[in-house]
Amino acid sequence: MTALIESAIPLQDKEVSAVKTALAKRYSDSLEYSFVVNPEILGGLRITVDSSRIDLSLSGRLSQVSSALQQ
Amino acid sequence: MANALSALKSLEFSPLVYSTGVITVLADGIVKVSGLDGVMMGEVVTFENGKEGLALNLSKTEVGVIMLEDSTGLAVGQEVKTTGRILSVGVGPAIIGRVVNSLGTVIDGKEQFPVTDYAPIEKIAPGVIQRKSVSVPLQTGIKAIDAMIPVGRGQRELIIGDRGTGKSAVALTTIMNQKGKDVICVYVAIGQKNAYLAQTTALLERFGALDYTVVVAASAADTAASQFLAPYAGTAIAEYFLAQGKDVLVVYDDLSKHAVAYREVSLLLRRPSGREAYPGDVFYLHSRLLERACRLSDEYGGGSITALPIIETQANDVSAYIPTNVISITDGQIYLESGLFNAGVKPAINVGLSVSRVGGSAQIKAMKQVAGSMKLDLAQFRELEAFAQFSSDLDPKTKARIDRGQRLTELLKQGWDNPMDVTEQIVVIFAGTRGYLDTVQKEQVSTWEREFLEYMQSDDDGIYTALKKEQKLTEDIEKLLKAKIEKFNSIHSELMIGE
Repeated sequence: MTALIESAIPLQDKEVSAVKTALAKRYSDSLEYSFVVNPEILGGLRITVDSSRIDLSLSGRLSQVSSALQQ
Repeated sequence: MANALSALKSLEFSPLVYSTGVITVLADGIVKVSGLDGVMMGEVVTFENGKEGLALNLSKTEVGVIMLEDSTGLAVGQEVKTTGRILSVGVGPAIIGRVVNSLGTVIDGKEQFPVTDYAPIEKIAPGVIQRKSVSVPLQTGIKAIDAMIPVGRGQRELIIGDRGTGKSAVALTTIMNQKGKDVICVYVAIGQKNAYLAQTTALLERFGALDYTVVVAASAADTAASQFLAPYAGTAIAEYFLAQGKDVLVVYDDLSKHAVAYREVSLLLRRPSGREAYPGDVFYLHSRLLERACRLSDEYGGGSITALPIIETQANDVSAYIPTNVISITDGQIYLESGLFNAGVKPAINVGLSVSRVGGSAQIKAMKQVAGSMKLDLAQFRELEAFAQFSSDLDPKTKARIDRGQRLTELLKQGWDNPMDVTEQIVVIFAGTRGYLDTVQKEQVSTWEREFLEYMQSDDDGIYTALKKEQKLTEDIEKLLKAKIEKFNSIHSELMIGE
């Protein structure tokens, strides 16, 4: 299993290890990590493991705001 | 603007953990998605353009999703997300009087009503302990039904017959008769022509029925998915009012088209088909819908949902697949025959084949007292009907049976736009079953009825009030009523035989 971790700006080392520890607890120790910088998410993190997504990004929150306003 | 601000203030961000998938196939209102691990059965999923779909087919390699809205803006390769919620309809007290679609969006051209609650489209029906037996009548206003095939609040009574026999008319008359009776009505139109639906809505408005009715519409132009969900949406809306302890009447017009829409969705989802190409769970489709009609016990609010599903038969064949399914689910059926309709008997109810499994428990005592013998009188008449043409050669007893039967049949004829109050029904049926119409000319029975009711309207000697109070035919009321009818008959000799 590969975990894809997207961030808006490159992560610092201690942030990288914090993310790895948290994910290892949630999934398994044999998880592979792939850190990608994706400015489109504007801020925060977006983690995808296979088809599971943990969306802690700013763009995710903004889209929720926009759909709430549309209703 | 204020709406937007309050929406922002009350916004709760939805779960940040969800499942994603990729569209692999997009066709015919069905989307096949790969990935989407952990998606629930019946879960709402969102597409990239914000549109929603319903996950209905969960298999090892892909998820079959039916589109709830049109497919514009969707493309293969796009991302699909789970939402963690099951499909619900937005409801509120202001939904009454509106025309909505299967998703709860208004389609009558006016503003969306304020949504205060969400009612789930799929729900497990109340269990045995939560229910109470049916004992309160739901007055349809149709003499033949209220007298011999009575419907109670919380019952499921099927209206079945060929096309053009007056099935929708029976349902609409029942809705019209609920005026002032504290019953909320939900009319679910499945697969009907838009023009016909507009006509029906205008009719309900004209008779003031929209003040207590909600119309859920999935017309023939809507997707099969929409038509499949419409009855469940109607039931969800009914359950919202049921939870408040209210009595609700739901009409499903009609479940035959509903089964066809479900067949279309199932075949597109490549589910195995069975008899007549219907999917294997077409029985469950209707049984889980109709089981949600119930009467709740007092500790659960005491409300009720009465269901009037409609099934269209082909060539009067009640032994076909879907009709037999629904007949075995409901608590009785009102069987409308095209032969009777063409012979001028309207409503074209075949009293012999129609049944109400709740029966007398759903009638007030007065109605039981006057209508008790009517079914038997009519049954005896039907046996002898063939001999009616030889009426001059018959013995007096047979002739009397035929005369009585003919007059009762005339009495039971009724205009669809003329629902009759139960007290008026009781007095005219009293006249019919106790023999006061035997001296009236057969062709004048409906005139007799109309004029007698007018006569009673002007002065009823307190009979109506007494009936409403006592709910049964006391000796005093009977005496008064007898005198009234005899007086009326003596004044109106032009309606009698031998004039």
